[in-house]
Amino acid sequence: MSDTFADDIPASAKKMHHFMVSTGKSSYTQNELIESLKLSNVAELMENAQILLNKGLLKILEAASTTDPNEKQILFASISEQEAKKVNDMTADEAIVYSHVEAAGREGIWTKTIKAKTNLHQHIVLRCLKSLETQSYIKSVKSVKHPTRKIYMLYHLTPSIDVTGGPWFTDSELDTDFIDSLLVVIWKFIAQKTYPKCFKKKGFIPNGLKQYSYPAQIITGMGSLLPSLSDVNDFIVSSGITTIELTLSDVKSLCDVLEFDEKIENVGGTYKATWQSVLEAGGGKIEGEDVYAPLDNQIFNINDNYRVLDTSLKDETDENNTNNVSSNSMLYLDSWINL
Amino acid sequence: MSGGTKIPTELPVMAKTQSPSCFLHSVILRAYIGEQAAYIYSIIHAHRKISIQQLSQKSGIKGNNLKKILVVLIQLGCVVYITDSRSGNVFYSHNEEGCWKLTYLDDIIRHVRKKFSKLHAEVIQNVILKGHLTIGAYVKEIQLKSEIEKIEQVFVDLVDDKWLVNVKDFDFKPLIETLNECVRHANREFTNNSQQYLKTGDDGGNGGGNPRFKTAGISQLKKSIIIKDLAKERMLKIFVDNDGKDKLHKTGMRNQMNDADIEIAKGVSTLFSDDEDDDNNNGGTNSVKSLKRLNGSVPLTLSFERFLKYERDTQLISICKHRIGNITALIYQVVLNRIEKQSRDVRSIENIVDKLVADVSVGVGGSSTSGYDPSIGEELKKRLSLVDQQKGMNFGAADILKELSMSNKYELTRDDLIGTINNDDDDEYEKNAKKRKLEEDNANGNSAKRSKLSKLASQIKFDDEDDDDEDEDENQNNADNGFDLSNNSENNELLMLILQHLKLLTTDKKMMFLRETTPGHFYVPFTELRLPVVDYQMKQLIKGVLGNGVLRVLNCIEDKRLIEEKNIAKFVLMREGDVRKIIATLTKFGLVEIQEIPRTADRNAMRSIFAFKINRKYLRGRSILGKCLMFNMGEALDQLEQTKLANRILLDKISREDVRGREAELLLESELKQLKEVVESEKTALAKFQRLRAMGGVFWFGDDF
Repeated sequence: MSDTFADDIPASAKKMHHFMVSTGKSSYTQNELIESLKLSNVAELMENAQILLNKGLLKILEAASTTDPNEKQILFASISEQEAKKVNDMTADEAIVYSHVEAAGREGIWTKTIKAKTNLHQHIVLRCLKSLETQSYIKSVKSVKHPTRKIYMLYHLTPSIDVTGGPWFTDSELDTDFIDSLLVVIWKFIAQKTYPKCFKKKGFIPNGLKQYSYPAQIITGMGSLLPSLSDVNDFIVSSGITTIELTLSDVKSLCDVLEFDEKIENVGGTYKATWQSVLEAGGGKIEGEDVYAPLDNQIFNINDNYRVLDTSLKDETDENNTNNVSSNSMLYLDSWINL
Repeated sequence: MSGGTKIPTELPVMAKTQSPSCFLHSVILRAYIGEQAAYIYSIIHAHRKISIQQLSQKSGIKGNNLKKILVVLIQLGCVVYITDSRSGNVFYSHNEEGCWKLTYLDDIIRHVRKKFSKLHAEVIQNVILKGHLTIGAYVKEIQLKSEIEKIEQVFVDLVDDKWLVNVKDFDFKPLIETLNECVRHANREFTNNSQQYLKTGDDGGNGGGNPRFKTAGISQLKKSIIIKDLAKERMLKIFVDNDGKDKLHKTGMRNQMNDADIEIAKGVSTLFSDDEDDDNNNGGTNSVKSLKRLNGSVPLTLSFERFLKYERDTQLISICKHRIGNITALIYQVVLNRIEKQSRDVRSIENIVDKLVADVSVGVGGSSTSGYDPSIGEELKKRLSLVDQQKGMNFGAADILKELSMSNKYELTRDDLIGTINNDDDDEYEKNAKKRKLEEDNANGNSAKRSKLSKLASQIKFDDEDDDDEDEDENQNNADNGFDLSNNSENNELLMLILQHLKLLTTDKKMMFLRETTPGHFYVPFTELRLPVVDYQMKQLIKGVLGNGVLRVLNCIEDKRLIEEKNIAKFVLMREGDVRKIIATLTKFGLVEIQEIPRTADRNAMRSIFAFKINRKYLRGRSILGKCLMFNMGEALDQLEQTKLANRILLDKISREDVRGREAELLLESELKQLKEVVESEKTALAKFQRLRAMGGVFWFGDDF
């Protein structure tokens, strides 16, 4: 097919195109082409270039000169024959739209921008886009930044991180389940390093003890055995819990979130899980202890949530069931909530 | 209420609406001394000062009745009065201290009962309910001499532990009035002395007068600063000197005791007291205790400050339990108990006076131009944190072990303590033993020597276990906590364990429960702990009530200082819509502030970015929260009262003589069910009240720096 498409091109132009495609370099300057093709003068080059341009096998780029950054330089880039044929088969409008979508690369282009750039009527743009999409030349992607915009890019391209939002987004939706499960895994890893055997025996402290801790020097300062960011990263990579590749900064942002949640703390570059987070997760229980026993010499702590009476938050969710109970009798911290 | 001469039938809504503290306290007063007193209190609360005529006019209560109520309120320390020196008129104003004592009454009694005995609790209860008492009046009714001596001893114990203090003149005056007197005095002092200075200056001598009182070339502003300083000095002196304390003990009865040994002074006295002396005092008290007698005619009252120290310590222990661990918290309890009495006051009187002095106006028509300088607070904070580590507040593991071995009052037992620290050597040993066993199996006979050793080791281990068992048996028999100082080899192990726990207390970066000065020596940084404790409590409330997401966003904003919505969503990995809702909640509760960052020269609001930041040290959010807790406590009690009122017929019935004790027979089934409901709701209300109080204490008392 390609042969028939390029049949009517003179041999010299064909040779030039072949050379440009075969060396694999993306673009050439005028001098480079003259030198490598051993052409006699610029006019000869221009003649060939014009033929290729007409056929859509070549495009002209503009770039800053290597010698003088203020000066512009003309570059030639080849286009494969299939590509050229594809464009050649399109209508003129389609070709224009296609060229803009192509230029946008992995970032994609908004339909409104296409309309503005091409100066075509909206209907025409939409028709072109539709036809290109059915031919699988372009695809529409959802942008995380602008969820309402319709953005197009070439079919074979993967959208850039700016568009997809990085590993935390699936189909441009923040994948909270994924994040939460990763958070739990990381927290558990750190907690295991901070408190010995804290997840053994259904959350009971081992050996019937009331506390089981590492000595202070392990938790802090020199010779600390707590995991650092790279340890956490290594753990995630080695455990294979996710197929999505996470960079160190992604892991760091997960750790930051855990810090904001007060589940872990950063101690001089290493991470330490808080005991409270272990308690909240149902760990750190004492064997044989009656958690509902009266607190004689202790003060009520809001973190003993099993001790918390009916809060008015709970009240709200159970509203349907507790209609018969006057709302007054459920009050607890409510003047703050209803502020 | 103006002009209303009719006495309302129930506590008017004004008592509830004018301020949370007024609401809570009037509800408390209603429970203790009746509706009319609560009503009067709320009226006084609404006015800065009010005369008896005005009070009568506003309340509709007249003559003797009103006077009786006022006497009771004054007695309890809920109302104070000012006598105008020129006209002789008396004005009344409210005083929260007395109300707080009543609010915490049950907690105080419970603690005293646990720490001392039932009799002590009884005495404390009587003292609080009467406001203040003399021992003479207390024992007047008692016939038996031995009983009297017992009661006297109880008073001595309570005075020694600083729970009871003598009543001072300024207890009945508003603080600001005492300060005003000090300012007047300072003004006079300055004028007199400066004249004297001028005179000596005229004589040609450059000595004589105090250069501090030199007026020549001094601006009015400087002069007022000097007078304020003088007033502050005088005010603090009044608090520290505490003129009544000399009379507290009977003279001549304390043979070996030295006046300085008896530290009764309140306020900043801790700043100046030498705790080493105090320690000696503790040791020496036992020998001369019987000789120590209190003056029967000096009125004594509860020191609320002393209770606050206990309250602060329980709070710290509770936090420690959740942040570090159960046993460490018990060790921390021992630590705090040891230094509780000597520790600095929760509300630093100097801080209070500093703030009052800053607003004082000096001279005729003089006004305060400068206001409170935050650097004064910073400086005071530094000084107070030095107080936390002064002599006598330091301790090591040995002190804790000694304390544990001497007293049985701590919950911590030896068995609880042992094994709490993961000992790497043990693990290593076990691993090696396993390894050795494997080797043994692989190469039979070759390692005869080794196997012998490991057998020996295992035997030793068994022996140890046997020992433990015996100890346990013994412990059970003696009901001892198991800390025995005579066993030297074990002592070292226990010391190491205690030291490890103390070190664990220093590892918390957010909340330094202890600080290590020199290796093995620690002190409790009360002053530095103050703000983290408040923050912690607030954030736990936010987390518990508003949810984890809110805490996450709040911490993110705190961490990034100034950040806009989109970035917050990026950092906390939450949906933008969710973040927006959370921020709305946070701003509503006064926790974060909005800052507009204009992008165009004309500050077009459409193009501006709105970023969020933390309200300075959460000052606003904290005060809102504290007040809400107060209000809810009032609601809880109010609701309790309502339930009682609604079920009055039933409650009247069961309190009848013939019904009491035979409820099951005489009440209908529905009535029994109703009764059960009433009791349940009463329990819930009281539990709510106590929990709210436990959470709120941190926000209400303490220094804000």
